[in-house]
Amino acid sequence: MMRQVFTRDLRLAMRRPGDVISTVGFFLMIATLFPLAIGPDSKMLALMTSSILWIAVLLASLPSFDRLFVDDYHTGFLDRLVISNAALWEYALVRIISHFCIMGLPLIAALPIMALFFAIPLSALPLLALIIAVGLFALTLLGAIAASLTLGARRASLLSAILILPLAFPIVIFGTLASQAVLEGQDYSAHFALLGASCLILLVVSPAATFYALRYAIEER
Amino acid sequence: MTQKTPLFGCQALHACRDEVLLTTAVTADFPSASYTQLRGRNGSGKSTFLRHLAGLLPPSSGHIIIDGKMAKPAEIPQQLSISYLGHDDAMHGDLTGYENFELLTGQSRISLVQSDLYDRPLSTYSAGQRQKLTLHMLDDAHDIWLLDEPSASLDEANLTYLEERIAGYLACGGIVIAATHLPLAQSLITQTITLEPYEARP
Repeated sequence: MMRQVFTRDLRLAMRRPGDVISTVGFFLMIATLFPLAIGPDSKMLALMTSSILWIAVLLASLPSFDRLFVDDYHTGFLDRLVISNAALWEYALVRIISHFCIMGLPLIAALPIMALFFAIPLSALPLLALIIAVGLFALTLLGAIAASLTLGARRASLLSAILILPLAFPIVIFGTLASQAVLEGQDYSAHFALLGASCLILLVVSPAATFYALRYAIEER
Repeated sequence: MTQKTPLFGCQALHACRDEVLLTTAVTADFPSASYTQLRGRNGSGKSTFLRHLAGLLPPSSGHIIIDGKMAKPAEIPQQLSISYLGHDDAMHGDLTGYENFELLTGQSRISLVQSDLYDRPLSTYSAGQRQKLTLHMLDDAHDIWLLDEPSASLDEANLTYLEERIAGYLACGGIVIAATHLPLAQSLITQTITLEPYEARP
């Protein structure tokens, strides 16, 4: 069942590429706003590059988390999962992974364009991509908890953003520090390890928390 | 069907939403090869009652009985295999008929009648075509069919198809519980349960 859900998600993403394109476009737009607002001071921009990157990653990915469960909730697909005795936490994990592949990886693929804007050395890109990938996966795990908690609520997207943002601080802080260290050619391992640790903790907590939230949402439907 | 169909029933079960009782208590057995019709006005709690039976909504008053024991809502799908036809058909408009069928039943498309229609995205279907596809998802191998207004948008040919499916399923010992306000396979009915609105005693 879970493999079918994953293929379905990829298939749907291919059939409506607009979602992905707009997320990537939003990501690039946020990043281009900063030089316009701050001015073309290359020293200042170089100092802020990693912060700008992470703010763009966070803001661009936030609205997409709403899409995690809302379709399956409204079509009644979640009901069918319960009736067919499928493991909801497994479903949650599959949705998180497929969402990361569909929404997260294109953002990372857009990094070379960012590198052009901010004069990031190409040699730093692979490491930067890895750090952002780990951070984005952690954000998606967090997003799943918020998205499942706000299922069926009015103004769910605003509510889930308010739920996610405070919890996302550590991820953004460790991610920014690690990326900054990479850009300056310093040792990034401590910050990266902390980022990885946050991701692993969320990997344990998120499917379980999402399971209970989904179960509750189905009962309240 | 599993080796032996478990005995399924409910005891003093009210349909209830948000802790509010909607109907009077229903105590009933649903033995194998039985066809139960749930009747009642619009909004009388038929769909809610079916959601209780499917284990989707925990009842705040009354119990589901499986093999003589009270079953918690989460245990129902573990002990019984259920085909559920509800208002929401769980299908996705951007997927084709075949893709929806494979996803929801876990069977390959070969088990579905070949038709060009099923290669088109579901968003192009009429309400009746959509409902017809959900009828194909009813599984004779399941213990119970829970049907919520299964015939609302069907034409005469498809209605006959549904009645044949019910007759065939009952013949191999299945349990059918259908909420409907339209006549459906009336000659096969084993019992009729009419849901009356609950009125709290002063």
